[in-house]
Amino acid sequence: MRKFFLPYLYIFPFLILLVGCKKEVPEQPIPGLMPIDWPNDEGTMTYIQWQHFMTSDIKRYECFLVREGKRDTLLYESSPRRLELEKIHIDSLLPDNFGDTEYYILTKYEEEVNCDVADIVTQMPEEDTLKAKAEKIIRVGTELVDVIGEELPVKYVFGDYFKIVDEQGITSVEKATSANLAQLKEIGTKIAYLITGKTRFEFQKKRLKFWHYPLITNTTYYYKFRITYWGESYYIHLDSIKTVDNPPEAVWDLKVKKLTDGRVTAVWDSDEEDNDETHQIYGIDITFPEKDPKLFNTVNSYWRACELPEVDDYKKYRFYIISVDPTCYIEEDSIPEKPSGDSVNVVFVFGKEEKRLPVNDKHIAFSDTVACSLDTTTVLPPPFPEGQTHSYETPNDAGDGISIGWGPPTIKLRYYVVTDEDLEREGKELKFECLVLANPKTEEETIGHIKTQLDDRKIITDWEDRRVFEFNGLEDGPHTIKAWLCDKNNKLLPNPEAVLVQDITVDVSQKVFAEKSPYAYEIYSSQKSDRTDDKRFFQMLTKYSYQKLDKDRKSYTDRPDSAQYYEYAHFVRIYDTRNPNLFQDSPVVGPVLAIDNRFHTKKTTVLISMVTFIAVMLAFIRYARKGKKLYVRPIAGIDHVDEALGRATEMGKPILYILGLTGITDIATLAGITILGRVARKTAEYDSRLLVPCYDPIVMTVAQEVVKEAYLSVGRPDVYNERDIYFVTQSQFAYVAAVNGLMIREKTATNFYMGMFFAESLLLTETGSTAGSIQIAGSDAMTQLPFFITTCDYTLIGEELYAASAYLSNEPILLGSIKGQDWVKAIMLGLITLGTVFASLHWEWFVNLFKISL
Amino acid sequence: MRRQIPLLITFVAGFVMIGQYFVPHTASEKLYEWFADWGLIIGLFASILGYLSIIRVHMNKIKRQVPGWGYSGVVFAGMVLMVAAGILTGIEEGGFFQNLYESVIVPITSTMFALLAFYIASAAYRAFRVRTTQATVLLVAAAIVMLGRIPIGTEISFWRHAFPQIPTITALANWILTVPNLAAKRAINLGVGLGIMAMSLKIILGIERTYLGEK
Repeated sequence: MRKFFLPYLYIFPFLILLVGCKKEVPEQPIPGLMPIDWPNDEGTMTYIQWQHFMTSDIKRYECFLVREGKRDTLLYESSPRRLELEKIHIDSLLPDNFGDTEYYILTKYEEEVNCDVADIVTQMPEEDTLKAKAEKIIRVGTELVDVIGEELPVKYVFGDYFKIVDEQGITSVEKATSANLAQLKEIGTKIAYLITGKTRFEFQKKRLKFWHYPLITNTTYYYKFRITYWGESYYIHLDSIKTVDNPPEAVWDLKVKKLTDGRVTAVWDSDEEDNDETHQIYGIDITFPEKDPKLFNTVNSYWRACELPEVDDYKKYRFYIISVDPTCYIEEDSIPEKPSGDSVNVVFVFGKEEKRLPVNDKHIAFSDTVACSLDTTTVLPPPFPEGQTHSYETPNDAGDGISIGWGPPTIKLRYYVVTDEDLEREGKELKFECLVLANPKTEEETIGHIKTQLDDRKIITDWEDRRVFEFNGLEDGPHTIKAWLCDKNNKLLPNPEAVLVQDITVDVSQKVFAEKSPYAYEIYSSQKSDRTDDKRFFQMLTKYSYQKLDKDRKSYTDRPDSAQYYEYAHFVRIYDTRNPNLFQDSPVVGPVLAIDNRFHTKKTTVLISMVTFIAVMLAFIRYARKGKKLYVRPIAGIDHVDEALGRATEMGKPILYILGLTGITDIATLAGITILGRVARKTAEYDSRLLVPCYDPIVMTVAQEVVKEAYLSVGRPDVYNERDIYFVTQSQFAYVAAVNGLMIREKTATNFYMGMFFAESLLLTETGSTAGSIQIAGSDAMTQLPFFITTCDYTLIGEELYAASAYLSNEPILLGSIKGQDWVKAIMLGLITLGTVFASLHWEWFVNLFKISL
Repeated sequence: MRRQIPLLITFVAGFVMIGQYFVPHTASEKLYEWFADWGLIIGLFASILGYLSIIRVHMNKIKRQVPGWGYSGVVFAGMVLMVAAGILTGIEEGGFFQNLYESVIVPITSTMFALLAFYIASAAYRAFRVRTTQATVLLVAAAIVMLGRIPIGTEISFWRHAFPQIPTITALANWILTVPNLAAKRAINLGVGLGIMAMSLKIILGIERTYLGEK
């Protein structure tokens, strides 16, 4: 027995070793796996990249930093960084406009990857043989590797061709015929790399990466990789990588331009969007090349453009730009040792301070030198006319705004492209708006009228707040719209933009085409009111296009937090959206301090109307107090209140009173409560039961007090029952259910609905109608009035609700207020009629009298 | 005195708030916020009164065992259940409280709302009965608007190609809505606006005192 087991005892430790040992992969199973030093850094970062295919069995990658310095020492292992794999969907990798373009997939078997791979291509314009087309296709997956500055070989592919079809949001892949290949070409830079199965396609990430930082400069690092398959792991040792202090990224495409106004600007580009390198623009005097290069400007790379203010003769210089890595910024008093390598002197400019610091030349990257080119075709945006830019304390606000207005009034067009549905309903009607872009500061003094004309039609003259002109019944084809801005004497304003002649074309699909202005504005502000001459102290507040100016005004209101404590200066920049380097600045205006305003001048009309209304009402109340008899038109709903209450008394059934579904702050509810007081007095006299289920607790409390006082006032406090006026719920339809149940159970003889109602109105009144109650409703809810009129016996429409209490009381003072209200209504009707006549005659001054701004 | 103080408060608060509308000063805005905050606080305390009221009404029903008093028990059970669910399990999305709300209250509310469709049909039948000339006009206008709101309104306007100058049913429906209907709406709105103003002034000036229980 012992002999039988002894051999196995010897084998057992080896088995454990065999199972416990991780397999070393003899050949690298992952394509492209390599550690790379991060370019353009100061030697503190590396990354490891490789390719992963979706058909691969690898489920997880882990990366270990084995050792810095020596490979043979395996004492130190960092904790692994893991990368779990996710399936990548087609939508997330294809460009946004996928549906607009046809894409083709070219597949082939690739030995390096050991499976089918595919590239996506679009159509190519040239006509050639199939093979030649295929050879011209650049492998997208290879081309798009995200390594800055790495020169990658271009590979070619052959094989079958597939087409990605995107129909109504469903993406599928179809095999394409060779006929489709007549126009294949390479695709842009944002296409995914594919891997194919037999029946389906799966996308893969082109390259996966591990990042590792911060590291020590000029140090060699060793990494190992753990790859996890189904239950098995393998280790791979990578090549060593040394961190290198690299120069910053070189900028490219430097252009120096002299604009027509004499300004010389420099524009350049670089790969990184958000780097924080400092850029310096130098000029070499080519007439005296032995002279030191002259530094013209220093800017943060964020701008990528700047003016070169000191260039007096652009033909004299050749320009170049250097990128200075900010990581080499060293304080003068903290330079312990000179950096290794050759040093050069570089001037750093921070505001007014200049520091000369020794800097390693590895931290500088030079662009190509360029000669200044004079672009005579450059056209600047129109300049800001003198005296037309204003900054002022924003009127009618709480002292938190400073407004900037600029430029003379100009005119532009806006089009309504009418939808098919509208066309079907209204016929071929297209609408246009002539909009005045005006500076509010000068608008009132300058603009009197707008005249517009379409083709040879009669000229329309108008001046109203919205300044909208509609030209209906437009036919297909070319049209011309003219618009003029005139002053108050009906004379054309002097600025050229006050006249607009626009040719438009309406095509068969009833759409309008016309050229739009390319200009846009930027607003800048500065809190340093003593440094308004230096635009470096200004920061951009907003930018907006000429087509989408806020409220069609040439103005902007700046609302800084400290507007009341500090003065702010502003200027406006107009630039060409096609070339932002073409711009004009307005003069700096201000500084201005915001002030708390004590009266909203734009509400003066409201104040006058209100005072007039109060005066008329008080006059009639006084008139009524003198004992004069006033006639007010009878209202059927109010006249029949007594009859309805009497019926309930005769039947011995309760009266239901609903106060609507809004709170005590709603005037309609208050009106309902005043009527409730009158009704309660009568129910107390008749000894009828009054039920008031409430939707709002505050309304309930007030209703209880009103009913209690009413019962007291007629000497029947004993009849008052507080439990009949109760809160139900604040859930709309739960309230309906409770009240409907009450109507059915109690068989209420009379139902009152007084206040504001919503969708529940019909549910309540229809139930009441079915239960055979007399129903009187009163509401100013326009959408619910039809339901009340249909289902109730009497309805108080709108203002009748507010007058009902006075009618019921029959007191002269209250009736006087109603009479006053009627007179004000008569005055308003007169003004509306006058306004209609005046507007029809284009006498806009009368309509403008009633302009308000809330 | 019991009457004068509330009237004085109404008068002062009313005119202060009217003045606030015309004054954009920071102090004026703060005052408005202060009033609004007080409104919220009062509303909160009033809700306690509301719940006390509902408890009292239903307790009374249970005590007296009025017909259907069992439903009052259901009210209390529902109240206790919701409050307990909110306190014990929280009100987060997907929690028991939210599930109760979404699976019980929302369907019940939707059921009540759905009844509206049948009620509208019933009310429309009553409104459109041809009894008088006015009711006939109403019926014709309603028929045109209803047909004009649906695609068939254009399709059944068979004259639209032969006589394009005669408006289609859709165009007619639009005209009814945008001309006579809008004119009537504006007239009512004008009256409502003036009525609200008059009512507010009567309350502020102490002319209308019914809400205080006075005659």
